[in-house]
Amino acid sequence: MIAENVISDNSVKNMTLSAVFDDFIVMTDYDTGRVSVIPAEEAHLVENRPLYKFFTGSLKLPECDGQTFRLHYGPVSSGIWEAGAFDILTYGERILGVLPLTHYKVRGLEEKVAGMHVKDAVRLVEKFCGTLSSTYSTAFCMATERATGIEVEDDVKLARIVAVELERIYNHVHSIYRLALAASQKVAVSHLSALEEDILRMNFRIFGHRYAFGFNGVGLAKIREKRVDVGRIRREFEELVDELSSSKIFIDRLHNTAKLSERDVFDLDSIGVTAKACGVVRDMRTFSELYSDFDFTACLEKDGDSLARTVVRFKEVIQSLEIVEMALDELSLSQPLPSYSDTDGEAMAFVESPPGDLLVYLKVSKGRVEKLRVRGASEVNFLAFAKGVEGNIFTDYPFALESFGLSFADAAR
Amino acid sequence: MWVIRGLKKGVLTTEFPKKLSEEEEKMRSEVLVRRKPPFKKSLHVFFVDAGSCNACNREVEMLGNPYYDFHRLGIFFTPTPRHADVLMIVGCSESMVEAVKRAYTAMPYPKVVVAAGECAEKFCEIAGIEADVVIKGCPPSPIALIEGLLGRESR
Repeated sequence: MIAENVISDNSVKNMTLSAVFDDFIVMTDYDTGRVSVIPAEEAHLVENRPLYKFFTGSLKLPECDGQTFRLHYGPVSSGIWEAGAFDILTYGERILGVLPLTHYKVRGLEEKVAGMHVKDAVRLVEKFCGTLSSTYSTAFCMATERATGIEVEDDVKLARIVAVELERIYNHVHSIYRLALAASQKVAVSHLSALEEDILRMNFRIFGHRYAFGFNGVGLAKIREKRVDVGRIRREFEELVDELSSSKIFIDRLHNTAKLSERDVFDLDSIGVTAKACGVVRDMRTFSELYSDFDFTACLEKDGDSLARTVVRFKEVIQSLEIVEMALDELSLSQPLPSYSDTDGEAMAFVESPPGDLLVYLKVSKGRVEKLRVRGASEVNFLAFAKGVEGNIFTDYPFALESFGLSFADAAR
Repeated sequence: MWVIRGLKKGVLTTEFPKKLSEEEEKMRSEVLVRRKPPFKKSLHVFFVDAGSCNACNREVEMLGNPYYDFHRLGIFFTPTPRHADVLMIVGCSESMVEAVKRAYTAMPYPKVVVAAGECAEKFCEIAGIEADVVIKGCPPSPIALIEGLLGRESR
């Protein structure tokens, strides 16, 4: 039993659909942090939700009617974009509907992990999505520790917070960089990409890898160095935000682009930055045991457009830098030994990744992975993007897409 | 105010390929040149993601930042394989074999294939495309990527 079972229509109504796995459906209440499970045979409780249809592949674009045109964009396109595609229904310049296609990224990783020792599985799980590697490895390790009853030291928790928050910082900076690139803000682009490189190099000094591969393990987290200049990153970022916010060209492109309402967030079960930009608190850090020592409050905006999402990112970067600074102060460089247990068990773990929360379900037996299921935040928020970009024109497309900060590697394994 | 900010920051660009800083040396990964690229002047690279974990994509994107500034070496990305000298592959997913093969066929001769990262080497084997340059590392460091594109062998 991993979570409480719910089978009544009334209790499901106020909960958010988090994941559809083969034999159960996960529902989350973001007001209390309570996670519940619906058995697969009771799927009719949520089958009308757009996200359920999106997860199960039954969400389709309307057929062309002679005036509209259907465009398949991807998986190989210009620029350094991922192997993913979009089916776009257009009427001239206007986008009438978008369906993200993630199957090009399917690498069969969940099947590959099955049967591996948890110690080796961590190394593969962090490569599910390389730019979110710390979140993936942290979620996997937390699920393993919960399933097998391993207690972790405070230093390990702090090291994981540093990794996850640094990851949030460089991914948010990257999203802002992509937006500035789309708006041809060449000077800002140079400054932002240099800042991102600074953060990646800081990651290298702290963890010995630019994307923090290999730092996390079951019951341990290795840190090499804790004397890093977080203050300089913060000063530079604040200056860049000042400059960017005073650029009318940049702001104009984001304002009113891919606008979502509070209602949309509830209808589409959106999470993370997308929900926070509409004024809805959906941040797993509010309930997480990792962040219990930090006085955490989510950053919110009201408007729900690309600009609001970018402003949430501006605020979150500053907030994350503060958390990193505090965590590094408290951290000691002790090296705990890895602890493994042969206990059988199953568990779920949520960790807040840059675009939204990541969910990992794990079943272990005799120290080996029996079953692993992952639901990345991008998987959920691609639907929000598809809804948000409806009615916009083609030139708004990059501003809509980049503002959600999504990744195909996070959406398909 | 951007101008003042830029002047204050000074030059960040690496001196590579002349010289490497200590930090860059530590981050650098290995490069394997199987066949030396037949190009002497500027390079046009077509980038294709064959199902990576996104870390390689990010490192390739980082080549454009002021620290590496690959344009100074005459390397450019091109939006179409028809204009490309080099096909740069990252990642490994079987569903991308057909798409990558089509991109490869669309390129004019002489053409060079650069497999960037450990997965890409495996992908080239699956797809039956011969990689001329293999850049090791997971993900390969930006310095190694430049080194691979220039067709130089590391020690």
